[in-house]
Amino acid sequence: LESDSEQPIYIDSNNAVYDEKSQVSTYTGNVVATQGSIRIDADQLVVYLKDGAITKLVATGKPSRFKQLPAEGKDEMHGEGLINEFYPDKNLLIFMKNASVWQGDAKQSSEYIEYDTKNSLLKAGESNSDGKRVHSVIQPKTKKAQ
Amino acid sequence: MTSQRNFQIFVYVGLAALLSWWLVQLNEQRDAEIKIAENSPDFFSVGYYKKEMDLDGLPKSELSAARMEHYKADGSTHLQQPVMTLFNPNQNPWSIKAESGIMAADGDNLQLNGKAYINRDASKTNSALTINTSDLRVKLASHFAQTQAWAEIISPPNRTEGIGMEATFVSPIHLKLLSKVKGRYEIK
Repeated sequence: LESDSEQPIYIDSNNAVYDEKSQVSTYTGNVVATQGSIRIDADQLVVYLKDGAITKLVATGKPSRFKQLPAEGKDEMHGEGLINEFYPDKNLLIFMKNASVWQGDAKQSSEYIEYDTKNSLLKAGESNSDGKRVHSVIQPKTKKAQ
Repeated sequence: MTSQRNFQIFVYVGLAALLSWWLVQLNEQRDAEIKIAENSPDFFSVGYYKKEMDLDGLPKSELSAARMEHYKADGSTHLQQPVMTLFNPNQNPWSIKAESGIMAADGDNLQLNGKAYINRDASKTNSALTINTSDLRVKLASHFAQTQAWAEIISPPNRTEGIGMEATFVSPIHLKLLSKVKGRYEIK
């Protein structure tokens, strides 16, 4: 949802370690992070902070999964990758390694997919390797009337 | 004649038995008093304050308490409303408060009972940090503390809680929550 980016981020996990010097909190074991309608599941989630604000979250798993409701009445957006990097202040989520993103029946797979969580825009493919370049833009489809 | 003699012997034996019973009673009572004496404080202090300096003469730790009692039996020091302050080079000191505490004879192991409140004010280089927990065991020499109880770490505006905690209060500060962790981060 558009309001997702203003919501607090909640993280549940089995255990967590906070290292003040590096300003990093590492959550391990059945990690679930939520922000509004955004949900990320992972084996481990590393939270990078600067002056108490989150600059980046790195979720790893086999795979780490993501889902979000782009807007009321729309199909949920799903994504997964072995490594997912989330930049809340830029509303940017990057799926890497065996990455896939799908909504309804449309699906994109690549080694590198960028997803704009505010405007539900998707950019797939690695810019620096022609061999695996995949370009596509998925416009969220309106849900069929029940 | 013999019955009279027997009666005399009987009286003497009875008196001897009575005397030894009385002596045993006396002894037991004295042992009990000694035990009580040993298990009661050999000295106490009200409004207790202790400051420890390091090798360079800089403050290392402070300990104050509403009341302190020292026990000869095990050399422990029992504290009421203890406030422990741990100083760190180039950082604000940590303050640890609790309802009561027991400092072991070695002066290193401090068991804090009941609610414990740990706090370090913000400084130019570090944000403020507050920990609410209970039943905390502190190892002063290594500035390390641990509990099996619930613990909450607040570094405004963020907050994380869990069950069980291990904390190192000297740089690099390291806080670990052992299970059932819930974090909450505000977005600026």
